[in-house]
Amino acid sequence: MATAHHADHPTGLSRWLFTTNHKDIGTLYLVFAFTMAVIGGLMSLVIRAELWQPGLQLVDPHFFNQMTTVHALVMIFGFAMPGFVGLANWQIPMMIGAPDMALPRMNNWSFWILPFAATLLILGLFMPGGGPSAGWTLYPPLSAQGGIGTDFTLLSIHLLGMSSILGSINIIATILNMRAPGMTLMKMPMFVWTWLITAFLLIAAMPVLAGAVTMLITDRHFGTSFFDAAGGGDPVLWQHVFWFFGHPEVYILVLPAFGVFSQIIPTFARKQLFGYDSMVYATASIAFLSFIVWAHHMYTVGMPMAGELFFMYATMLIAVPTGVKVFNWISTMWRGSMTFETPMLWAIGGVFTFTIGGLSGLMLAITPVDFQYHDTYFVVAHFHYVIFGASVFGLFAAVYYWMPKWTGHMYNETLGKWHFWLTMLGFTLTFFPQHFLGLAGMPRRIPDYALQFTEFNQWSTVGAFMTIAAQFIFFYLAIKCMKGGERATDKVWEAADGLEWTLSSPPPYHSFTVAPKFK
Amino acid sequence: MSITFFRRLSGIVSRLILGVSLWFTAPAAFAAYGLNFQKPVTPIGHKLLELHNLILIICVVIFVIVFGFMFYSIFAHRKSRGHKAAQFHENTTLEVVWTVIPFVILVSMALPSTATLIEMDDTSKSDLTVKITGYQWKWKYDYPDHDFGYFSSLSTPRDQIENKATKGEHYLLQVDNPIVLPVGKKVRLLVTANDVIHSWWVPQLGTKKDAIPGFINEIWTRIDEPGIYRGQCAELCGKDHGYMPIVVTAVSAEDFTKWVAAQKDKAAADSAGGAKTWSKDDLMEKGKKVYATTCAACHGANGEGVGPFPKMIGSKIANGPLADHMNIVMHGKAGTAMQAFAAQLSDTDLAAVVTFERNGFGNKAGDTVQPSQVKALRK
Amino acid sequence: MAENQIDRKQRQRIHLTAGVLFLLVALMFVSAAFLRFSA
Repeated sequence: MATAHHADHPTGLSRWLFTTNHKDIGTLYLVFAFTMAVIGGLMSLVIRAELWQPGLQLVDPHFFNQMTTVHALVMIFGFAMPGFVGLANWQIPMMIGAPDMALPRMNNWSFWILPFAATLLILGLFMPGGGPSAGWTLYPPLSAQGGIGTDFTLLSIHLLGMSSILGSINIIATILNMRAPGMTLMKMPMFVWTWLITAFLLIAAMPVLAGAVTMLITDRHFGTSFFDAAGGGDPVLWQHVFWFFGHPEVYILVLPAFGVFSQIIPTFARKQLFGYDSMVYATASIAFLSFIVWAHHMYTVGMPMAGELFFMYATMLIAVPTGVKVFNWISTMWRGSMTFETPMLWAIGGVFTFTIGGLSGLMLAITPVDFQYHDTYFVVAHFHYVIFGASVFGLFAAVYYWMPKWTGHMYNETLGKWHFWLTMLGFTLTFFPQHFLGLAGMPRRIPDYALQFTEFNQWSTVGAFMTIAAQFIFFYLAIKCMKGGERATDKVWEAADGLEWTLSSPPPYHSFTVAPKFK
Repeated sequence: MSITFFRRLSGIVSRLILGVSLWFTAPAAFAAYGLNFQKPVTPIGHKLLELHNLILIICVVIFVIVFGFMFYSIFAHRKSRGHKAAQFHENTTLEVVWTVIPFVILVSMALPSTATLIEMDDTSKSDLTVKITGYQWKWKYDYPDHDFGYFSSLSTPRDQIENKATKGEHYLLQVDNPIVLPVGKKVRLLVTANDVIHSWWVPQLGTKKDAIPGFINEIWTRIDEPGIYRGQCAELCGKDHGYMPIVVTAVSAEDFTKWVAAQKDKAAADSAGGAKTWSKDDLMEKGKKVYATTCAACHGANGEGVGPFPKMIGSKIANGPLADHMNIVMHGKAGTAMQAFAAQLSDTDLAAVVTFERNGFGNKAGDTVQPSQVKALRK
Repeated sequence: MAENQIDRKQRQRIHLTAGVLFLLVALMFVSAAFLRFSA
């Protein structure tokens, strides 16, 4: 067959604006995500700088509330989610032996919505009255009080939701319809499985958020009273609808990271993943259970006791399949022949930090004691351990693991290790003391605090600055790797296994133009 | 894995459990580095601390066992030590065991938790009811059994917050009028809010409940010993969410009765004050106090305005027609954070604060407002 | 480049998948209005 003469490998600005190539789109998502991470990271420094000591030193409380709100929105919707979609775009077609995603033009649009959504979100901070300041959870009636900055955010969330939904439809259509002959569902790589399940979670959950956000917009501007008691509505309705989205959302953030760990650990243990089938079933169970636990975010609103007990039991139950996954990873390591290159460090570190977060999550699941933990720094510690610990560590693990494949160059292993250890240390210093702050009685979302909370807040602030500083190593290393470095082989890692490792490093712009043989 | 390995491991584990439980039951040893709950002063508070310690210890044990295996593996099963990879990748028995055992552990945690929750849910047969209302940014305590109520606002001086004065011991945890409760009695607390969602939390009592506008939540507490117990609002409610603490003064039943009587006298005096004619000086003095606790948060301690909220200095409203000024103070402004203070402030307070605003901050409106004028406006 | 092109049948299946998923999205959006769990 003659090769086409059109722009087989386009260049310049129009390449990036109009690309329908999954590799280019994956790169766009990743660059966007890490840019947003910088913005979100700077906001976290404003927060931790103000919390260095009691008293108001740097910002006023209203601005502080904007920082906590926008920091979370940027990190969740701007960094973590687009980051994993970027990985999905790069990796899924190569891992299943497909030439590209099922709907390449929609793929381009899914990405290009994001810079506009991000602009709206950040622009809100500069509007009169400032940006949204009711927390990323936007509880009314407080969120109904915000100015136009809040409206910018609500519209931004609609755009972000659209991008995720379209991306997920694409991912499911690709995985279900374009696997190489011979690759049955139960032979797919775990990263593909976790993304398949995550995509279903996204399709079910994001529209519900869109519905809630729409109701908030109409309450604010079109005379409805969904969430206003004076008009016959109920502020708690928002919480139910939001968390119906919100709980599956946190699994959306974490399941792809689990998939990454399941790819990396077998490679560096030189041993097949333990219990593949149960990993699939456990992931599916977690996804299903994630829909029936939402009210554990709302134990203090005054639900009937029967409701609280149901949600307590269902939430505790998620520990079982999650534990199965952790045990399976450790069993993969057990009696393997391990080496500890940077991807393996991130993967093991991620399993470690995620498990700590999972255990504090088990404590939070228990309703009566949650009354003491709810809305304190104990919760802040928990979710940073699970989200930073699993999702962000998972993103770094994946980038180090696959970057040699994408670029054709090995990254600097010494710098990689430094990046990991400094981040691990900084992260621990930032968030472990926050468990104690919560237990000792420090509420969350406050810019100033009583004197007895000073010491741990100071450790936490030092840790935060250290963690952010460590990320400079990553940016330097990544840019250097994209430009050059030791040639990477096709297989890159001694025991790497999967269709993507049969391609060259870097792979051809259009790979698997011929369907591969898969046993 | 040899017998020696297991023996060594269980030795480490049991020593760890002992150490950890001693560590967490001696909170007094860790002054500013508080590692656990504050000392409970109610039976529920004690139950929660025990439940928390139990769950924490179970989690720590699980952590030690799981990561014991992982770190052992990292140490022993590495290529650099020459370890060759085994090739197993499933073991049905093991998988069943590590699914069932966690499930059993969960059930054992769920049982005491359920019992405690059921106990916390029972607000019947109380001796006293107090209604708690969250406002932006203060609490109101009403004693419906005795027909009086009052606001409770942060009393930490602005200077301390702005780092112009040394911070006192109870920085951010002190109020002008604490809620007073009798010890040894079952007190039913009705929790609601006036504007946005707040949450009433006193760690030592072991109670936290959201205060939701338009709805009334119910909790109960029985305080064991007299003392002062401090808590904070636990739901983001706007810019001064961190500045609306809760202080509970628990006193003996006799002292409580005396306090109630004194409060009722005070309430009577306040409404009597509404009938008399006040001098301008008296109105200005009272108005200054009301302004400081009620208006300064948004309009500035010196009338300079805060962020989007307007100044008092040279204010068109404070210098303009009295009727408009009274209207906005009493009925608020829809679509903004300016609340309707008619329900929150007495006739005397309203008269005083409006007089203060019209004659202070360099404003020259000149008029004085009498409580009886406010009363007339209420109909 | 031609050997691994998507044929008509695969195209139809992809569009069917996408269509079903869009319907699911619409259903979930509307469900937000009906979600009730009285406090």
